Amino acid sequence: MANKTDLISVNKLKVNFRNNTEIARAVDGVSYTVRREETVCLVGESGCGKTVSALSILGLIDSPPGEIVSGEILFAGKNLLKLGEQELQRIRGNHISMVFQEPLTSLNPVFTIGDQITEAIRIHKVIAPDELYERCIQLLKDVGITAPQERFNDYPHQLSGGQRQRVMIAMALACDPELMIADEPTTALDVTVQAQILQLLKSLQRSRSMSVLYITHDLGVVANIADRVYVMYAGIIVEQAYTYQLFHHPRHPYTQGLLASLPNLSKRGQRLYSIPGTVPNPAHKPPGCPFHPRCPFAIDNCRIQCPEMCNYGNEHLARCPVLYEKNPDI
Amino acid sequence: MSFTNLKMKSIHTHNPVILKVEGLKKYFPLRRGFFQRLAGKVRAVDGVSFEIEQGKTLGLVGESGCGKSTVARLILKLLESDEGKIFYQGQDIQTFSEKKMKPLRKKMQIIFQDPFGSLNPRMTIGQTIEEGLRILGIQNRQQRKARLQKLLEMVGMSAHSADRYPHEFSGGQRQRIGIARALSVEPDLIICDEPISALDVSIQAQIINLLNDLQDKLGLSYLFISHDLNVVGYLSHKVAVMYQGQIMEYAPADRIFENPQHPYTLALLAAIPNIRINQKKDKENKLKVLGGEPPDPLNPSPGCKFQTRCPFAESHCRKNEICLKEISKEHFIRCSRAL
Repeated sequence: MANKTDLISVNKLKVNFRNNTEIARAVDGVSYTVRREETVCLVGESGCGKTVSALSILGLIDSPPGEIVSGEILFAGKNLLKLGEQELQRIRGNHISMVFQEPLTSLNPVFTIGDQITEAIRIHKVIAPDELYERCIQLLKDVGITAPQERFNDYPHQLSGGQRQRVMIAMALACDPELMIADEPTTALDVTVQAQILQLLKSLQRSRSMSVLYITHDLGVVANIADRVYVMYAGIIVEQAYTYQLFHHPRHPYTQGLLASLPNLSKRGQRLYSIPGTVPNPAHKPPGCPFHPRCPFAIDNCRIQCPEMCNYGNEHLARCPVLYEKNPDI
Repeated sequence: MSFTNLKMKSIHTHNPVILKVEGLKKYFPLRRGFFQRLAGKVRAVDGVSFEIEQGKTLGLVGESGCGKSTVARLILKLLESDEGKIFYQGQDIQTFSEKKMKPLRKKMQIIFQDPFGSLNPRMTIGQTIEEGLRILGIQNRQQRKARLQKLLEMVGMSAHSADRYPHEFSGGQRQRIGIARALSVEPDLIICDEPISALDVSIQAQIINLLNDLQDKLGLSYLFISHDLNVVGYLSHKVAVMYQGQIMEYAPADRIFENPQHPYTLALLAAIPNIRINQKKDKENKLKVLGGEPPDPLNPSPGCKFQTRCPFAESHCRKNEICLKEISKEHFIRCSRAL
């Protein structure tokens, strides 16, 4: 697995949002890589900066209020943050595409499904109308939409939530991208439909040999879909590992807390572990390690200095020197 | 330790029934077109029956649109039902006038899903909770203040939050305030309509623990509505699985999870992404996917409502209405395979 080449790497990215009085450090020095043919999950709670870091890849942060302070995003040897709007447009949808959370608001209600998918292709490729139609039908088939010829002329409101998300995925696949960014694509869906979409994403990732950057807050989904995982908290990455490692040997107190707090039948009758306190406001983050006010292992140094990543080997890194000193072995 | 034993034992002990629902039905008329012609009826709730025992939790699970929230509103008479009976401590409240209902409204409270939309932004937390105390008939201001402090403490909020407004609080804290407001009138039964699904993962466990503690301390009964089977399995004594307005399976929680019988329950359980993963990933961790999507509630086909997605559907499932059958003690399913 480790010999796959990097497709995109985000290095020390910092994104701020400012209003008249405050600066919110939404993403505060985040680095991650997605390799070829790999599914990587960014997991974290709302406001931890996972979506902002992904939107920065495509240059979709509005400025103002947003501002990319520093860092670089390397894709095929180019720093995406340095590209002009035209060059970025050539990459968006063509090499890197995105699927959003809310399929109803991200489709245009006044155009048919067919119009919207063909538009995605026409922007990047010169193609004959017949071929365009064929390709669009094939895409709808690939994402598991039944009777694609009829759906081609439907409007978004005529489809169910699951079907809309399938259409969104078809649009994202339209130009055979190398990387698909999926931002909580199943959060608005029911469990049985979520299972369908996850299965679809997995099989598409394999059959098209693309990479997927999957953003979610749901650890169950992570366990199911990811090859590697980055756990984010308050704008920084606190732990990264291969999926199996992360779930069986979590090394950061936040990851450990999250896993322990998930309810299920077997924990019935025991008191659930709960992480005390709340997620910090990005404009008023505590000094030092942002997790220290909620951490059971915090020592004085945690309140002063944000710790570095500790290496557990096999690409398993966690930002907690306290636990590392207690047990540095794998 | 004692907590563990209590909770595990209490699955199979019995308390007096506090709420009983029989054959509850609600059809919503759907009007379409320029003249608002009646286009059909959506069978939101189509013959739902269950019981909640004192001090116990009934979990009501199902996907969006299956009618679980409508059931909550029917029980509180926020909606009039079309058919069926609702017994609160043995009295049939279905026929009660609004005036007669009023004293009972104190006894049955609701916690809503959205902690942002369910608190009045112009009222301080203190005013919001005190409103309930006034209704309870506590006229003395000192007494109200004292009770308010106690309620806030009970839900784990500091006393000085009484003078602040909802926007100053996070989602989890607002949900605590919603719980304090529900508790202010000293209810016996609380209907929790997806109380944690709008909250962050690390906050959900706090609210679940709070609800559990309050049940132990005050002997509350809950109707816990959720789409999350893990949460329902953790909290509930009994579980009812709903699909398209009907209960498909109804049994003690441990049996629903350890020995599920209805194909829909099986499918729901199989669709939950599990965090217990194996090293040899793909094979073992594959989710079992249920095909298709729920049918159009406007034109249901005759027979079983689950027939369009059921892997075991046979010809008679498409013809005959199927009843809830008791397959073992207290374990009911609505499936022809139970015959």
